Amino acid sequence: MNRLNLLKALCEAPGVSGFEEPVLSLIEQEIAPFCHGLFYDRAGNLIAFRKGNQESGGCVLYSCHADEVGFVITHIEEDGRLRFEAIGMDPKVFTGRKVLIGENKIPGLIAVKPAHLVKKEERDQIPSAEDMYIDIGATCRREAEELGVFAQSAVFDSPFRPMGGHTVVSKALDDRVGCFLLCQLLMSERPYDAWFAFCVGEELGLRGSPAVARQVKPDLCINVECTTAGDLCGVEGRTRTCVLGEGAVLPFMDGASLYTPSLYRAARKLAQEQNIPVQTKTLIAGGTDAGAYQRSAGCAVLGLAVPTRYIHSANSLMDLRDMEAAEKLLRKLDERLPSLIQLVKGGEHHE
Amino acid sequence: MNDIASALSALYSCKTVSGSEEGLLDFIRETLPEPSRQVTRDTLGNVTVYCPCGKPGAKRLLVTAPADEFGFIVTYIDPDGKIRLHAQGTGVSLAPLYGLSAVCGEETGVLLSEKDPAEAGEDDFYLDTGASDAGEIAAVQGDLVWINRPPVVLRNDRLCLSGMGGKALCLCLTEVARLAMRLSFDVYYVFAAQNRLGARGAKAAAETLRPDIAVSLDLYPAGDTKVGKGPVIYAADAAGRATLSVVESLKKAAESIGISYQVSAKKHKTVPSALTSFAAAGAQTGILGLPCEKFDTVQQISEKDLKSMSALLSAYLIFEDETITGGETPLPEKEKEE
Repeated sequence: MNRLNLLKALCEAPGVSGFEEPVLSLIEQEIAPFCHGLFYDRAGNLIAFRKGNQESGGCVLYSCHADEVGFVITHIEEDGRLRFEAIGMDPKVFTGRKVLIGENKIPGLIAVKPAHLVKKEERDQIPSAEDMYIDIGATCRREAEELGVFAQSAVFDSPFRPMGGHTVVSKALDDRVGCFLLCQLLMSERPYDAWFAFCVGEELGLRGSPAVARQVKPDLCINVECTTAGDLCGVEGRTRTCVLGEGAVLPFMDGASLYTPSLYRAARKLAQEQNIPVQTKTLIAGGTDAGAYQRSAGCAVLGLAVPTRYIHSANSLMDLRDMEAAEKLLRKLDERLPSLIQLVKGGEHHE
Repeated sequence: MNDIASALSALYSCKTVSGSEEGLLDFIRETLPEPSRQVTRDTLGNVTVYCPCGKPGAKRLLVTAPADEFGFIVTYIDPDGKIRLHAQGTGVSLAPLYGLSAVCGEETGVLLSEKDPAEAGEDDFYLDTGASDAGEIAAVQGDLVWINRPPVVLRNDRLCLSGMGGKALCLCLTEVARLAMRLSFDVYYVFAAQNRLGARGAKAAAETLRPDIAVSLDLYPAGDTKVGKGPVIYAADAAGRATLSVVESLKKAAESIGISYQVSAKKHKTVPSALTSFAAAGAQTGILGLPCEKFDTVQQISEKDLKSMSALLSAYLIFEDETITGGETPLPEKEKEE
């Protein structure tokens, strides 16, 4: 599949946490011809092994997550409207949005009270998810049940589209961009053995990655993600966290991990030597599967991310040049796995 | 642990802000020079002293103490030279840090905030080195900042840890490891990295070592317990309940050597816990606490409690050994000669 078409297909495939099968099937289809090992573990993670023709000196894992934020239908009212639970989102971002429900992609609308009916005291309040519902046009419970929507997931109906400059907008850039980059790396000619994990349940609190850690037992994990760019209108200085168009992000720390300092420094140095634009995060926020790998496998971790505005909402925005910078750096890191492994395994270890 | 003041001072000098605990390795090498114990440091930063019993298939007992202390991490260098910081760790009141001197690599400065110190949050502090331009600053994003707050010895058995926190319990681990008891099980003394960031080092140790029994040592706020009344055997912590049989063994061990101890089931949310990771690894779990007043500021403890903690830990290991072997544990060679 053509590069951008693959990214588009990945972003548009449904894959809410706990319902990742459609997007994982798509990934499996793309990478299967290139793998020397490919399986789903009991947690549902898709784990692949691509053999190289040289030893790197250790076990290397590239990781991303396949799940996205979304909804699960929890109840059907008598009048056919659907109650739901939201995964990983603030209610502000989904009022009035269109969604697609289940395998059959039943269209729905997250209903919002029209302004004419909003009471004065309600004007400044944001309704909670419990008070919202999805309208699919059904007139009664039976009609909705026949559509098979109960206990199904729902994703935003937000297609992948290029926008101004070098940007693209879509749902689920977090972390289908990571999935895309790992697919591209796995499918290319590369010298060293490596594992590739497309994890489930990250948005539920790093659920799938501990299982990967215990099975693969990596010495080194490079976790590829999207990260929140706070360069919004009116936001200046360090509170921007990271900025679209200024390159790939190498974080030194987030809420779940303190990335291995020697790897962080080596990656920055490599980027500078190769003239790859990189930046770091200026606010400590969020968390990634790297935290789970550190705690579960005790392995060294390096984070690589693509700055993305408006993540965990119906539409996120990314600059393709940042993604290309991340891809270039990822490939350069992949070419230098033995030295990264040596950095991790050598030094102040073992008497 | 005859001279606690100098031991604490040496430990304090190691500068182990969460994420940068490598300084502890030299401290442990100097304290435990015998080659019979394997001292290793893993990629997360845990330092482990491994005392094998020499019997294949023997049980594994893990004891952890925090290796890290509270500090800051550099997030940004302002154009005017201010070094912006993020608080590295929880459970510490930030307001009293205002105006203290701090060190970041080659930079020395003063911790300040534009906000009222009483309202300053974890991202509101900066290090003022006197620089007027970012170009003067050698520090970079990701560098760690160590706060200049040495421990203070007071009268009447009291010590102020001044932010060293649970790191003081590393002295208990080295004290017990130094005894070189010949036990019927392997013991891993883990000086756990990044404890203040959610017991990360202890969790990683649980997963990789898969112990049969895991005992964690840490500093806990007094309140239902009292400073000076002995170490606390906890029946639970913020993450769950300790194993009843280990709790009972700790009590019996304390009684066997006649030291005072306290018992508590209070769940302190400000103290990180690896209990669920220990349990997930299949280990029975125990929790030993050093009671502390003014937990979030000057951290005042009892020297006697600290010494009793070491004694209790030694007695517990002997108790477990006798439970397994059904007999007496041979004393270390040194003590026999005395």
